Amino acid sequence: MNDDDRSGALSEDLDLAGAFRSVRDVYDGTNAESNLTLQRALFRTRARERRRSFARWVVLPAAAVLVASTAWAGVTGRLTPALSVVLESLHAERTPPAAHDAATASAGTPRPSNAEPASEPRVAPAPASAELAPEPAAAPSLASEPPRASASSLASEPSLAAEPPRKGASAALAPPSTASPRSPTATASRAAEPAAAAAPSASVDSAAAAPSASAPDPHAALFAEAHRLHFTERDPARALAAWDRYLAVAPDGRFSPEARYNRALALVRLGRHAEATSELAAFARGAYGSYRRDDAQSLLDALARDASSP
Amino acid sequence: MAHLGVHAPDDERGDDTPHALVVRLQRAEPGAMTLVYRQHHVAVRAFAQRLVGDVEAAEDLVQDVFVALPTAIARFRGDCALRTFLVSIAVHHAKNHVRAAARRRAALGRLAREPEPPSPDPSRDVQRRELARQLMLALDALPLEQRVAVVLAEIEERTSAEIATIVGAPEGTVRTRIFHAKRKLREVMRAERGGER
Repeated sequence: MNDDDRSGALSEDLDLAGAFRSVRDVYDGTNAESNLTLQRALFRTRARERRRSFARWVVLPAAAVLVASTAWAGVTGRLTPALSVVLESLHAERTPPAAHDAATASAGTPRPSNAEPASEPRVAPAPASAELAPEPAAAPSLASEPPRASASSLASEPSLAAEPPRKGASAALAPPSTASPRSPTATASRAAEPAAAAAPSASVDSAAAAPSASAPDPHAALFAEAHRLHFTERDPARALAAWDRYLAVAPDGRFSPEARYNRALALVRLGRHAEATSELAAFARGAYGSYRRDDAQSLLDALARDASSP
Repeated sequence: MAHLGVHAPDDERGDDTPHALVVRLQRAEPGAMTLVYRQHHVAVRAFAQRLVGDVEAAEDLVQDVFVALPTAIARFRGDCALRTFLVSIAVHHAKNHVRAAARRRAALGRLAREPEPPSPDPSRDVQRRELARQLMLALDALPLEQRVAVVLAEIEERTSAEIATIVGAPEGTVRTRIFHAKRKLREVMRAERGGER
């Protein structure tokens, strides 16, 4: 290294040292907003502590209770029925009864013994069917046309019948589900249901419900047939007969409220308004709880308007 | 915590950290945080500004340090001064702030390619600021570890042992980082000066 190189390196070192000194002098740690920074830091710390204490005192205990209760239910055998009740209530809001039935049966989940008391078939809301539910828009069309036209407009209403039953639904109904019979109390029902007949009619305890969970459901096929005639074949006369057949063997069956409502629709389509009105009036009165109450009332109003119009 | 009270307070950087204060910090008590902030914010901010080279980004870094303090204090064993510990928190949170400040400097450099007209009578303050700006641009070319080491060693004038405690690396590693950082800085500044000519 010659003198020039040495002096150049020394000069660079001096420059660098000067630059370091400059940075030290320029950035001395003072800032007029230092109090603001403290306030912001305290605010963020408080917010974080609140989140932590919420997690510590609310979320963690809730999670612990959930885990413990799930473990307890799993050990005592209550987990599967509880899960099936939850899943059923979730599915019932979106799935037509037949598909719901299929889902339950294919999942192999036994129905809880107290899921649907046999003595209260009418109070329990039957699963709502999106395809079967008449839209409120059906009422004006009924009101503006003569009765036959009203019936045809009902049939053409997509919400009523345009869609055939779902594939899963019919496939599931072919091998009838075991979980579907909810109320094996009626005499005719008992005669047709070997599994249900084996169980005591008054009490549906879990011990009795367990064997019936694996037995086939003879009523589901009747319901599926009526559903097909009504909504796929669109033959109200044969559908009415099929609904009557189903209701004869399962007057308090799981789908009997749905069957009664569909029967009333078939009567409307056949122009038998007096009988339809009588059936629908029961729904409108709330004999089945809130199930189809508003729909039935809309249909009754439309029928009344039809009757009063010249 | 076992070391608390065994070590003498750091006179130079200095503070002593009673166990009660540490416990209060762990509980994020506003009073304890305010006390520590009042004692150490200038030193922490100075390091942040020198490391980041941007006053606003440094302020964000200071805020991050004191927000993280209640959690980080659990790692504090009392084998160094609380101020040193705060600087080590700043080092751990500096990455994003350094990047953001470097990006901002690069953007400003692109926007202001024209050299500033020389002042007829440049004051010493202007010269210092220009030198500081050049050094910050050169520091942007360094990896973060080398940048931290050289800032702590050459600007903050800390010992290798202290830097080793702050960055959690052996002293030899720290010295190597400083050596490579200074060599790179010389190259960058030489190139800068050559470009200006």
